[in-house]
Amino acid sequence: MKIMKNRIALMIIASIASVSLFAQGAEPAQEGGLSQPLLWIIYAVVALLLLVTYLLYQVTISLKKYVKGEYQNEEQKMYDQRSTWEKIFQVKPVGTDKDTIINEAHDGIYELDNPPPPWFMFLFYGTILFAVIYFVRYSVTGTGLTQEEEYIAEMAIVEEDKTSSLTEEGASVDENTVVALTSAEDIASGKKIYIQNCKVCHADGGAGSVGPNLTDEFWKHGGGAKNIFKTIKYGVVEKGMTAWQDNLTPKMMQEVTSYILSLEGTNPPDAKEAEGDKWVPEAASDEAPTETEVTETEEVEG
Amino acid sequence: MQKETFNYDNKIVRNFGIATVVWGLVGMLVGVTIAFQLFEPFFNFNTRYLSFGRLRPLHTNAIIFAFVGNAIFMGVYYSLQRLLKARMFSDVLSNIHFWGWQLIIVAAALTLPFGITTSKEYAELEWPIDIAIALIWVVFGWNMIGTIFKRRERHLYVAIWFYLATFITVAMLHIVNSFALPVSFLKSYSAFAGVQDALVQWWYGHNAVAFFLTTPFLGLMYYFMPKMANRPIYSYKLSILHFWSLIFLYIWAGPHHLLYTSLPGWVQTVGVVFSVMLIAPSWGGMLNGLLTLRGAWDKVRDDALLKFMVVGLTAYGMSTFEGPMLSLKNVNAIAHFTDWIVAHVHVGALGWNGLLTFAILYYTIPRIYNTTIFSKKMVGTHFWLATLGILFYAIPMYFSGFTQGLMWKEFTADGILRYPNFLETTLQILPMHMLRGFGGLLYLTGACLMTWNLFKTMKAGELVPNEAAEAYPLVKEVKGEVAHSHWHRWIEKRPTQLIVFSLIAVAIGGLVEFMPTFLVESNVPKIASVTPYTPLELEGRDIYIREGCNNCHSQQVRPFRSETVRYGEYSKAGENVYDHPFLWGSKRTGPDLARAGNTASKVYKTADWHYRHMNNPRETSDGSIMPAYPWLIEDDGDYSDIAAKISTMRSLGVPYEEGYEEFAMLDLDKQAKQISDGLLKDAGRKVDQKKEIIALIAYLHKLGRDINNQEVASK
Repeated sequence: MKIMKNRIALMIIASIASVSLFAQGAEPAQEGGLSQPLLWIIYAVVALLLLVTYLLYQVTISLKKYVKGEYQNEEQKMYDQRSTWEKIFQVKPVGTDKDTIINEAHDGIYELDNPPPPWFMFLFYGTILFAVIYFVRYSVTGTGLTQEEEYIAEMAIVEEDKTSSLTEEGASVDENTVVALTSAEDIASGKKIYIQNCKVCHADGGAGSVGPNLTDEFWKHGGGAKNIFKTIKYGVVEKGMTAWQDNLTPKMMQEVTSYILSLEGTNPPDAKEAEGDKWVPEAASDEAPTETEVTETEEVEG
Repeated sequence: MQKETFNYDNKIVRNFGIATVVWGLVGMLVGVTIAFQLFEPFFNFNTRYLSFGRLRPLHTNAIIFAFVGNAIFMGVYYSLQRLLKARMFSDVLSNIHFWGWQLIIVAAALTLPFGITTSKEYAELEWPIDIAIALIWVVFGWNMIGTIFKRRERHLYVAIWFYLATFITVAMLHIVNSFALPVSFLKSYSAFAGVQDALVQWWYGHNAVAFFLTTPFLGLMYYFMPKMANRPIYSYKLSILHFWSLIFLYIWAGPHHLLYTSLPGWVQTVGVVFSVMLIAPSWGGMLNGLLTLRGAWDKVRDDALLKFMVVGLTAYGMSTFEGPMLSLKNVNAIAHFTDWIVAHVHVGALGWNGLLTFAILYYTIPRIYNTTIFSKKMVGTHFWLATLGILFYAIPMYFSGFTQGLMWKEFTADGILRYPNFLETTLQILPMHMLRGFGGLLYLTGACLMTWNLFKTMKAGELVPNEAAEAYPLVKEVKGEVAHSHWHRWIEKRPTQLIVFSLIAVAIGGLVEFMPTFLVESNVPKIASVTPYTPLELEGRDIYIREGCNNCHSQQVRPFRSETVRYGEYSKAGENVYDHPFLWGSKRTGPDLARAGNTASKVYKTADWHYRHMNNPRETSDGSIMPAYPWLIEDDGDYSDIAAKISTMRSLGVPYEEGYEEFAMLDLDKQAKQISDGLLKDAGRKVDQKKEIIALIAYLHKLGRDINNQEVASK
């Protein structure tokens, strides 16, 4: 009876452990991703359910015994009278100590000759098995991806996404086709991007600090939507201007360009002195739409 | 046969006990200070000696080697004598050990705040102190083994196996990791470079945790737990199994600190699998401790000492489960470089080492003073303060680590980083840093309470410097006398064999990992375009080391999209072949700097930006928690050692031409002038070329630059 019970308990723990073992062995180590935490939660729930089942099983067994009053011998009684935790951890009952004690003390400390709990041995051998499988997968057969392969796979997915998102609105904007946007919504969105990324160097409202003032009509790398867009996209790295093309979408760069254009003539407090050349818009036709023209004209007049 | 009478040396136990308390308070106070600096940089009081990069090594060294170290010696000197029924081998050695160790700690406290550091984590002390550590450690071992040989107990109890393994392994780790070539009295360069240095360092670093913070404390647990609970150890078989498997497996697991770096893939795999296999052997210790309380759990309710032990062992169980989980690559990808790791180590340090140390102090001090504890109630209060302190520390740090780790990786639907500005992710977690500071403060308050309680206890009692004891002498065993006993008993009465077998068990892992990495060339692919540092860059690098920049900035871009988009091309092993020591770092409180000098990278900043940023980080980065470094701008660099530095580097294999040291200073001045001229031309900023900031800018602009237009010579 006792052996039977132990065997069932071992099987249950084995199945819990193998679920997680399988999870580790089967999943190639991957970066982040939403599915991973979700998987863990599922495993946790499964483990919990199995644990509850096991506990219920234990309770029914004890109840049955209690009702029937069936005890074959004293030892059986000791095992059944263990606390729930002791049963879960498959610990020997205190009453057996007198049989297992090693008759040699060290400064009054005695040791018992109990075997390690079965679940512990299972954990011990289980992790060794896991280690062997893992090592073979990653370093012998090479079925597990190396970190370089993982990286290539990750970037390939990104490339695919990029190609498909090119058809989206605004995705094809570049320095040759860009025009300033004028709707309040786009300017507001540009301002938000500006505060997140540009404010650090160009200060609040484009007043300039490490980077130049963006509110006057003097530009180091050319004014107007196209030049500004180009400067944002490719940066002027040796001068400290970051290339933003990987950190901002074309649409976002267009919005922030538009916001910067809208700053002209705002004269913020503590503005940095002008740098670069005065920008005179060329043929109006390839510049921004008329609304912007008007602002710029007003600026010149002012 | 007549019983022999002898005395236990209690005075040495008392001395180590007092040192434990004093250094513990110092270490924790420094810890709380730097915790506060991590949300309000003002707490370095604008002095260079208290800036985070210099204080953090002081904190870790004070806690590990001063607080925990003295606690180990206190516990070992107390328990060893009693387990062997013998006085310590030599009082002279005991005293040399005690005073030598305290002097080493003082030397650490006098060098680290001055920026005298090797930069290698938990091994920051410079070479003269390293030699002193090795000598004093040998004195400790000599004294311990001497005592073992004059013992009156035939079998060595499990606690002593752990003490012996601790002694030989720490000696091995310390000596190998400290291989360095001195430049001057207080400056040396690691003998290893780049990826090899990283491997050796984390073989050491991980096993400092294993053999300084774990095995000696397991030994102490095996003595003090059954003593406090008055119960037998649950399983002798488990002791044998988990002792041998623990010391054998632990030594292999170091590479889990270097997952997804440019360390060869197979070494990383070895690190992962051995870390996973460590769960059971680690838990073996916890189980044997907790199951020893079987039948005595009612005592835990009333006895605060047992409460300390139970929570301490549980913390040990949690962190040794978490460790293997963090070693899985997919978990590590999120957790590494974040506060999660800080939480993990503090569950171990505050929970396992701290709480056990407190319990052992409360147990030992009244006994050697022949009295009872001054206030039991205060012990109880201390327990709750410490436990609450740990919770307030760990929970916010887990939260913070998880938050920042995910923020670094998040992309928008448009395929761009959600938080392209690193600073945004820092600002997000500052409230968590405040809570952590509060947790640390609670823990420190508890320790202060303990100090008072122990002080009053000592006042009330009187030290029994020589405690009388008696035991039968050891007689030669007649062959075949012991009819039936466990096979392991054989080695328990043979200390020499025990030492030799332990040494073999701990030496294998390191050898298997090091040899191929050092000897097989394909493990570190060369990159032809990578050049050695110029003299000015080398001096800049030494300033970077002096200020401890590597405590907050990593130099290792991992091969993830979220990192290559943020920082640039991922790091290759061939880039670090001239890095004595390596400076990959282990924590990103600030952004990675591996590509700081690469103009194609987002993290590239101009010389003028660096100037402003060092002078006042808040000027360029609003809300930044980086300390200001005005002295870099005010002070002239001292480059008098440059010739010695160049020739030392050449001896270590860096290909400087023979005789180059004579021209090094000329080159240094030339490059410094270029940078100074550039600052004037590009930003209109006048900076004297002698200033330290110029050298630091030169170094930062070298970082990750050489890989541009590179051809990987061999894969």
